[in-house]
Amino acid sequence: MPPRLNLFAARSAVPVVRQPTSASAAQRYAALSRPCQRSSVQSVQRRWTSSDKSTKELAEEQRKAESMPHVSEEAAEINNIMNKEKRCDGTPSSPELEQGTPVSEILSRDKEAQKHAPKVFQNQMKKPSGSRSFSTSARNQLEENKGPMSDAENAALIETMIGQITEETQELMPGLKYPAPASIPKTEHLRRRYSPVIEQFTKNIMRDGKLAKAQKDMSIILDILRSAPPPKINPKRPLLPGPAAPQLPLNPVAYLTLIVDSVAPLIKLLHARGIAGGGQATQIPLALAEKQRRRAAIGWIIDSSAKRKDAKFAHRVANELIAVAEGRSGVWEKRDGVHKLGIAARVNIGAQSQKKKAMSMAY
Amino acid sequence: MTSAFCSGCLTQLRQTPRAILPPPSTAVPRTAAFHTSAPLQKVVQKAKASGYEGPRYRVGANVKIKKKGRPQEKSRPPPPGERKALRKRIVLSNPNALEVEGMQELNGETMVDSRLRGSVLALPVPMIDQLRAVQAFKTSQGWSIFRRPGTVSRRETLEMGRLFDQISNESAGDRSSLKRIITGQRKAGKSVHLLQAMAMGFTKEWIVVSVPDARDLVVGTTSYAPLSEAQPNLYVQNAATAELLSRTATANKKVLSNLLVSQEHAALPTVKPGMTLEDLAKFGIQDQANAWPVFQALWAELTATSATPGLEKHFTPRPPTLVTVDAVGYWMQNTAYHSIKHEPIHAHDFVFVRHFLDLLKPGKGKSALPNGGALLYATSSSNNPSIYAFDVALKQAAARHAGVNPSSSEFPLPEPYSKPDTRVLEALNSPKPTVSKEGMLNVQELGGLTKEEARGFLEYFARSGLLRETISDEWASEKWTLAGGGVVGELEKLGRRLRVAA
Amino acid sequence: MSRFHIHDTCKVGDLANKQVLDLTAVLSDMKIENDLRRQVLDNIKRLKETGTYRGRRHALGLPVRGQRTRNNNKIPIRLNRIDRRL
Repeated sequence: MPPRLNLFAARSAVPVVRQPTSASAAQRYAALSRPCQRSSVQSVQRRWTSSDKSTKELAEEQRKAESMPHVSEEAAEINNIMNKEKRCDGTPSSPELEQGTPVSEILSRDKEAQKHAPKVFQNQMKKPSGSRSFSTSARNQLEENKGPMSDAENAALIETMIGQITEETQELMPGLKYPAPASIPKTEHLRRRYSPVIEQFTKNIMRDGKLAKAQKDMSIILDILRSAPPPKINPKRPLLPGPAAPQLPLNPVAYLTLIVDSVAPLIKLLHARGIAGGGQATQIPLALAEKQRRRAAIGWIIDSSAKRKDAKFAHRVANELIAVAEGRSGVWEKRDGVHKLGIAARVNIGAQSQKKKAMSMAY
Repeated sequence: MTSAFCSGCLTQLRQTPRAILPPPSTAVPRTAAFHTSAPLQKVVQKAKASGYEGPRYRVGANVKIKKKGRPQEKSRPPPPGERKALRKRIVLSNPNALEVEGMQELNGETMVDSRLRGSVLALPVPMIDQLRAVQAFKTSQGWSIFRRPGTVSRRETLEMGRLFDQISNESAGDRSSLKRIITGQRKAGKSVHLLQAMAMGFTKEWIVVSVPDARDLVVGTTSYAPLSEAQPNLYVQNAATAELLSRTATANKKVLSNLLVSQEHAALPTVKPGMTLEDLAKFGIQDQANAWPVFQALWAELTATSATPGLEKHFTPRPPTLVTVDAVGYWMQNTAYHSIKHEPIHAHDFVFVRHFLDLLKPGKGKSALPNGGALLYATSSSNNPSIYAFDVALKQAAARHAGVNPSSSEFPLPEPYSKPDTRVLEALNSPKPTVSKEGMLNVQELGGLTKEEARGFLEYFARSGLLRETISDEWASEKWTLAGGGVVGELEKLGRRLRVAA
Repeated sequence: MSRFHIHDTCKVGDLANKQVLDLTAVLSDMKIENDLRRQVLDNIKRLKETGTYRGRRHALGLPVRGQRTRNNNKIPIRLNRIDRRL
């Protein structure tokens, strides 16, 4: 048997690594580690790791321990423990400090034992317990993977799993001669037939609730994008990585998505009053979700299109979109401005919560 | 509690300097001392007036809050005519779309080739100007997304191509003619069917006379006048006729410039025998007051089978004529024009409309189109008036063509008490012609494409780079169903709608 | 308009010669512009000179046809003068 480091010993030996990072985590850690010794499966395992007994004997002993043990047996037990304590350099006896071989390893080596092991062990073998807050699970898993569970066995396990699933499907969908289609594409759904950006853009160009007009405008915009000459990308204002510029007009939806996503701001500035004091607003940068970012970009594009001279709204917006793609539009400056302000105001990020905390402290 | 100040302190306060004091109240006017009474009275009155006396008579008591509207946009409206030009603009090419390899052009062979059924035939480049001249393209049709304009060759197209081919191949002077009203549901391809007919007409060097939108003549946007003193109940639309002449002359320039005037035109003293028909048409374009007589003269020339005695040297056999009218339903009701008594004028009282509707009837003695040709009148299904009499008349025309006796019980009759417009029923009442070669009025209903044609049509989208799907029979059949059984306009919508995320 | 066969969206430039002549003929029979104004002023003057109640109301800048004067007699105030100009 190769000498190996007991994981539980390692935990106390390298306390820094295990140091919980936050106070709440520490609480959880404390709460979990104590009852662990008594209740969890691991504690059972720990209690019996010291001896080299086979699992059968272990089970026997466990049963006996529950009833009253024989006097001589008890004495032998005590002696055993006392001896161990002496071995441990006078440190207080703790099962965690014991050097030994975990049962799981024995089980992994001994096929016969595996079959007859208690159900708890068998369960544990199948899936690593992830109930602990501190992360021993990765190592446990590693250990189990390394364990000499043969390839053939693995294959057998997978086979049985697959068999089970197929049985289940046959039970679930009786009468299907052929397998059901994999999955209907999202865009085949009536309500989601347009891509999300198109949907959002259409809704944002809608005025007075006239959706049909907005949709007509949208189709004109897409047609203009489709037939306009490919954009000459300004190297200073590149679009997001995507298809090459000459290919963009062939896929106007992707073209539009790329334009909108490229000028979409990452943050917005929240004007919070009453933090700096004196009625002055503090600007706090807030991260935006994808839909919010797009909304901001679409709003900017529509606003700056109002200055154009074209006769039709759809033409104005389409030309503005092309101007954005070519880096000529003022939308880029708007986005840069927001980002610059956001970077300048990043000190304020915690300001609001700090203020709240200070307020609660004061009361 | 006593005050912190004692009276002594107060007395010791110095008088405030004048500058700090508020200016003397303006309410008390400064007046001479000997006139005190009147101003005092006035002051008293004013003080009373300043107090609140309740709501004034017929004035709302609510507080008026000024609404903060959006700031008004200051941009100027575009110059006059620009919006209309934009609305009417027809774009026929998209340089970004892919060139479809192996795309065949429409010509004499391909228009009758049934192997090409379901494929899209490109319109030849020189013909596009002609088609533009007759306003065959409509803004609502999706020409602008493809590299070059093309139309799908469907069953009805091939059938029409064969008929055109047959008429062209007959000997001059003994050609048959075709009279059809094309109906069908919305987006079924009726207008494009007319376009295909015109394209075939140009291919076969026919003369194409086209009314691109019948609506323009009846909604009160072109000038009208009584035809003559003798016939005050007939009206002529000179501006519209001049436009028709202009369309015809531009589109058929090649054919018309080879034909000479070979008839006597008493009404037009300036027209000399021997001048080309193109010049004749130009007379009417330049002088709008004469547009209608010029059109009549032109029509007489085109339908002439022989020259007036003495002018034989100017006569050459006339080619067949194709007449197309789109949205013909507008011609079946009262117009927006008014008679001298301010009563609405029926569309059939306009000589322009009457001329084209009379062509549907069999000619007296000789065919309505003696040199052969085709009359194709299409109904419209978008923004068209619903006219009961016209619906019945179409059914009757179809029944007559099928050989149902008008006196038999199967013949469709209008509902009793429905008061159908008898003029409409009469206009489409076209019995079997006596001239053998003249076609009988028929109603053709355009339905959807077949599945194979739909597949070919969608493949054209894919090959133009607009559609990014692998086109299988299954997929095409699905779209065919989604398009209401292959309605071509709906298929086009599906073809151009992109699916980005699969 | 239908008397001269002028359609709804007609512009003056689109009128045919005959229509223009007809219109002029009809308008020349009508009393329009300054003639009509003078006629109106003469009528008012006659009322004043004969000393009628209506004439007086015209001169006083008050409504002539029995309207109330508590509130909205804006137009008589503006127009009715002793020497009225129209």
